[in-house]
Amino acid sequence: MSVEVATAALIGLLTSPYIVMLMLIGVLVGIFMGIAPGVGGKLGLVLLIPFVYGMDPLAGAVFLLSMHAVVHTAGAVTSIVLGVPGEGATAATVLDGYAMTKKGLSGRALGASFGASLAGSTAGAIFLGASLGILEPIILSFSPAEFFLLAILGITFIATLSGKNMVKGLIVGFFGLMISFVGLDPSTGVPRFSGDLLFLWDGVDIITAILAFFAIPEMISLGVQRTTFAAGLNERHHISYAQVWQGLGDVIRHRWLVLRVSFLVAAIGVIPGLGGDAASWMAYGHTVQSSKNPETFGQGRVEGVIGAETGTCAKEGGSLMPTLFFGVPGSSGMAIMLGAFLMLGLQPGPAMLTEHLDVVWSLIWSLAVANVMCVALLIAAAPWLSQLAYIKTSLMVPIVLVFAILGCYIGQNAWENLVLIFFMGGLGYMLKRHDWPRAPFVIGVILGKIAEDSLLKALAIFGYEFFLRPISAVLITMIIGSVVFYFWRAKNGKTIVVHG
Amino acid sequence: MVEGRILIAGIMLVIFAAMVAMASTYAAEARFLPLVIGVPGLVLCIIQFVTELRTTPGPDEKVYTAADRMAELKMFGWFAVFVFGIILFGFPYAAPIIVALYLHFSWGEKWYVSLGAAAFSWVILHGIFDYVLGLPLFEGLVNQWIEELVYPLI
Repeated sequence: MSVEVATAALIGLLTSPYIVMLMLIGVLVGIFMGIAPGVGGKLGLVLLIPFVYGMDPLAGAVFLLSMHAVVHTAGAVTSIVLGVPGEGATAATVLDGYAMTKKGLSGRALGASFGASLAGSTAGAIFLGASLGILEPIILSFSPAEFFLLAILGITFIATLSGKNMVKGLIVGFFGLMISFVGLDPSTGVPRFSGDLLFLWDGVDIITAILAFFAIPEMISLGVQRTTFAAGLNERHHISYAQVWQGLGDVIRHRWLVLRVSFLVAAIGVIPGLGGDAASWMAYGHTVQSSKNPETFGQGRVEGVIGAETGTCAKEGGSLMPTLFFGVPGSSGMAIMLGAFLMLGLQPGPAMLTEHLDVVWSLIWSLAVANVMCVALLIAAAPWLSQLAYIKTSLMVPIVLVFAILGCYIGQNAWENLVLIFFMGGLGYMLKRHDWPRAPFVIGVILGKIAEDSLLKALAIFGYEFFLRPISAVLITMIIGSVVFYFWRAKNGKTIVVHG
Repeated sequence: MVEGRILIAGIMLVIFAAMVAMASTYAAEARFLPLVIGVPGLVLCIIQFVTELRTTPGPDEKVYTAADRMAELKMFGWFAVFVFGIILFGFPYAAPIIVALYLHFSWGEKWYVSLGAAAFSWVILHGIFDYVLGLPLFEGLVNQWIEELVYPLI
């Protein structure tokens, strides 16, 4: 049954000119976002959200996921050619990638990174697809009680997403939760934190909140700093096709490394809170550890590029799993994606397996297909790719601001949301300026609603005894374990630094 | 002048204090979760605020000069122009004009670049959102008032 659905989903994806066109646009935007200065995947996602209003849920979700899936792949270009990581996730690629560029091997490093990204994303998608059979009975046995505890578990991951300062992260996460309570109380109908402002009675628009905390601060920051990634770099790099093909051949030569890293990182990607940054460093670490000459890494080893890039892309398949089936985002990017899914009418949870399995498979395939498209385009454009990093920041700032403002308006057709984005965007910039993590806010604002709704249902069905259910006990143990694990890591100086 | 890191900790403290105070006035069921989250949040804000007050900036911490603050103020000013310009005059008119003005006066771009970017934003707004996606664009409060005034006269 699942094979039939999977095959039908792939055929449906590839034979629909509309979907293919959307994927292609998503991939092109993703390449631009990956390479262009100061943009990145999260901002790319929030900017595309206005474009999917009114779209069919599947088409909209595939469009957004295609963009998101290729940002890291394209982001390797600036890491390798300019030595400047486009995102935290591609920072590990700089070590050996830029060293190869300095040796005149930028084309080979790019070829290796493209091939590794393709292999990693495909393996991640296979991992996700293969896990469905195992996951299905577990997910279907969950009641509102378990979903409440899962939401709480997701909220405890706020600590993991808080980087070096857990207090700041918790404050921002709790603020997100408080914002999620704005609107009519589901049990009494009392307007909370909204007074007579009717547009707030349905709650704060999630997309407005996300745009305010991610798009606006980035644009204000770019407008203030007025820099590009390529600022001060006058070199233009010549990249030949022959070198790119050589790099692709390197991926085939190191296929066992690619396989090991792919499945290791895809499995790790399931753990919410571990962003692409951690995944790429874990993959790089494994590559170095498993080498016979670990001391030569950082000096231009192609395996370093392959390991880091495979890991970064393989993680996406794993992190999509908790997002789709539990409503617990696997990363800050997936938190934004979760908001977009909700806006499109796709409610993450067990229904994704029972009622929307075709959508699930389409999303899985889109991860792989988008990367195939992306790598083909990147290989074709390889000699000219680095030029994108020299694009004018000035042009991006006002246009992105207009689309961010538009995005917060069209969700609810409420101009009052523009006032909201002004104040929340200002707050978001202040948080960014003083190194307060913003990802926990998104987790809080999304999971707050889910937690409250599930709690009310669980209390109505089981009363307070729902804490004693066996699965609940397992989840409570996991919640406690998550908190203890964070403190253990913090005590040993092993906190994960998450950018944004 | 109050340092930014103290200011932001103070702002979060005030927000949480206000939300907790408001939540405490609601009915028992309605205030349960806001207080469960709000009270620990308030405590954390107090801890952070006190920590910031007692911390002296390290040598590697970025120092914001008067020029940096002025650049931020200008950018916030432009952001306000974008938001409130669109609220008053709507996307179709205000957005392209503000894009052109911002590029020319803030970045010193030549008029042809500024107007080109304005035309691009106009095409996207009307072409994709209005025409292809069929999403009506907000026309602005001033335009709505003018329509309300003029229509009865026609």
